[in-house]
Amino acid sequence: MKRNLLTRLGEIDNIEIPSVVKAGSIPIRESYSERNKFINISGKILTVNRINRFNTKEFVRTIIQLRKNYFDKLIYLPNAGLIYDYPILFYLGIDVLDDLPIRILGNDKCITEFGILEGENCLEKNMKEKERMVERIKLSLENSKFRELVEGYSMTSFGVEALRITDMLFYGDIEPFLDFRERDVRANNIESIYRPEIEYFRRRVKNLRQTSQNLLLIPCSAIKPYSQSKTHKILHSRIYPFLSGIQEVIVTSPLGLVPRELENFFPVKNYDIPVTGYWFKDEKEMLRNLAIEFFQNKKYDNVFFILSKEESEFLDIFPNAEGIIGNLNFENSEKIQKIISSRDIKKDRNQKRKIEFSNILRYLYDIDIEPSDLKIEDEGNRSFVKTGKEILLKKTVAGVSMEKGLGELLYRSGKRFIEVSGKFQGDSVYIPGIVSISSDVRPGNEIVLVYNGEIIGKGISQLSILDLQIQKKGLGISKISYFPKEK
Amino acid sequence: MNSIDLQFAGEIREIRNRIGRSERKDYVTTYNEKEFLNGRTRDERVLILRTRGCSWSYHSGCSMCGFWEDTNPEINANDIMKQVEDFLKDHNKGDVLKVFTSGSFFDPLEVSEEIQVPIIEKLLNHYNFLIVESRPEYIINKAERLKQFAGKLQVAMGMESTDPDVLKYLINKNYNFEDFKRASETLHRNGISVRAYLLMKPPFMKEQEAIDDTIKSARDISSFADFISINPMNIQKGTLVESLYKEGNYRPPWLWSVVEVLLSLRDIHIPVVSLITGSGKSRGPHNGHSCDRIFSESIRKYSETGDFAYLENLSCECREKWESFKTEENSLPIQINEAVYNDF
Repeated sequence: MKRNLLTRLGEIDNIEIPSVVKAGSIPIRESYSERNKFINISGKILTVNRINRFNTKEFVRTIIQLRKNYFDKLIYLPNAGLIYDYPILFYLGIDVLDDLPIRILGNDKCITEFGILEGENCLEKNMKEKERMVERIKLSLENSKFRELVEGYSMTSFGVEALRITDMLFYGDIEPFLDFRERDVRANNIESIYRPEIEYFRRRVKNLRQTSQNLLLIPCSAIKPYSQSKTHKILHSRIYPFLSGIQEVIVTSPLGLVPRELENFFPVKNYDIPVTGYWFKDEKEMLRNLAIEFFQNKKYDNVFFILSKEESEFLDIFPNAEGIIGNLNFENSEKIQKIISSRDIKKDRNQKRKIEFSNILRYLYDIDIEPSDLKIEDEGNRSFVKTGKEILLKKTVAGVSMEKGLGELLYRSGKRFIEVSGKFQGDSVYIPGIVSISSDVRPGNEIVLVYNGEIIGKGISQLSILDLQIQKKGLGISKISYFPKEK
Repeated sequence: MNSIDLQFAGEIREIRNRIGRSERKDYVTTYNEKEFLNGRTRDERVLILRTRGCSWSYHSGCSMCGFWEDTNPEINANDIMKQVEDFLKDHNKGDVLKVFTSGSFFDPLEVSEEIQVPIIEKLLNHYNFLIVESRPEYIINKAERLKQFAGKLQVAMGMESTDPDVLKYLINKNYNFEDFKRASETLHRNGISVRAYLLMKPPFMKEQEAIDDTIKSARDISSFADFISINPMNIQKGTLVESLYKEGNYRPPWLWSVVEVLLSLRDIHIPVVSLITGSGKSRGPHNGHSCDRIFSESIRKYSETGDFAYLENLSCECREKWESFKTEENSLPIQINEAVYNDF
């Protein structure tokens, strides 16, 4: 079973999900005593008897609640939706629809992306189109591109409404279904601004600490991580001497604001947007709202910027900001260097690094440690982040990863752990080897491995507690490494 | 058998409690209609008295009944007598008079015991034949006193369906066919004729089931009634049915289905009519086609004359759609509303 937020790809009770079945092929017959109830549960199949089909908000709320409360069931919504509604209906968590609406539509109404048109042999054409759409949906789920498909195919008013309502009003319900496994995120659409992974990022970023006494706001780059791009390299070549006294924050849509220390993590490293230089009103509003929250408790000696006109519209929140309206290039990098060098930049590399690691611990592991409690030890191209004698993190060219000290800390706080039934060979644990999982774990999270009450290693979770309810086999934890035994 | 599904009754009560009640004390309305009664077309006047409302509705009520809005909890016996007098001032003569009360004429809480017989007497001084409505439970102890009106009085009871599951799970009627039979036998023993109302297509029922249930119920009830009036669902305000309709989960019956029911019952030995409210409208029985008007008119004419020719000759291209609707709907676990396809 593969899962993409609320949508699952696989099979339950020999019924493929998601699917649009021939009306009548789901073997449910309801007596009158069952029909007057909102839902009917028969074995693994939950049939939605009643739902407000004309009120999109109510509709979305009902389906999402059902998906949350009956995660182990197959949700069947009879008689709902035409072909271009399928993506959003499956996105909300419905597993099975039927083709009755197409059949009732008859032979002279053809369903197209731009509405229902009068035509001939429409039943056959509609059925073919239905097959094509279901195949597309499955392919996108296979390749973790379902959200992209939903945004692209939400063409009916219902589809657009439902997607926006889900994003704007039901993020809290979607959050437990998030997945942080690395994959490309194509934010090609205005709807991408509020896609749950992006919204999650913004919510986490808001509470991160100020890392330096000075701020530099710069645009994003197509190359990720940003610091590997030509433009950011040029900038760094000019302002390098001052970097230990400057917090760099990248201004970008749809993420909003990215502190430099997060550039290597999902989704910052993985998103792609069409670059037009033009920002929609919604994007500007999102940026302004985030900036107000992000900077509200931060006080900088100087605020510098190189931003395009559109990107810089929120700068009125910094009355003394100085910089350049324009692109990030050699010329402007030189200009900003001059501005910066004319100011008194207080540098504290060690303090900045501690705060950055404290931010990383908060962002990646949801654990809050005062920067002053952290110690950084460098060994060649590796760095170790410690509290007291305990090593929390190791940073290498490959990235940041958990060490035993952090594992202890997480397990003691009841966070990010998976209890296993033994110490297994190889770098994976399959689902039957999992005993329990803390409720905050999402696929893609680095977790601490626990056996018999002892922490024994770390790995990347491939599931959440929800997945464990329905998946009895398959990969549970990958990239496992065991902590060395204490001497 | 427990005849209440508490969860279902609770939902109906919740919806009903959202409805404002009337503060007026005059009678609700009066109008004329025609009906094929006792072998001929009769001019009938309908009088709807305003009362405190159906006692069953104070508990929960029926899933389709929207009369609650017309009722006023403050109304007493004097107010009702005054309504009758006011009515007679304007309409003091006629052939058949139907008196409805948004509940039961023989419910002593609604129309107090001491004024029930005097009202009947008074009205029968001005009209040849009187029809009053009541739930069966109020009739058993009363029929003796109605003997004096034998041949001039008919009591109508809303049986809706003879299927106990339909009554319990789809209507919340809180009485069953046995109660109807007992009341009917008592009335017949005292020379009072009985009219049975059948509800066609309660909520949660599919089109074909609605046709089958109405035909079966009419046949079941024909030995215990003198007249059958089929009421295809019309959606009234403040009802569970209205909620379902507004959510896209209910469609009133097709007029084709009404015609099928009436034609199927032509061999029954008692008259079967259908005076439809809201015919051809989306909240009433409709085919959703330009033929709605002619169908509505034909069913009305049939009900006024008993002449099946009005129904036999009906035809429309939408028949195929109706047939397909029934077949497709039958393949699903629940009833459907085709409006969803265009609006979704």
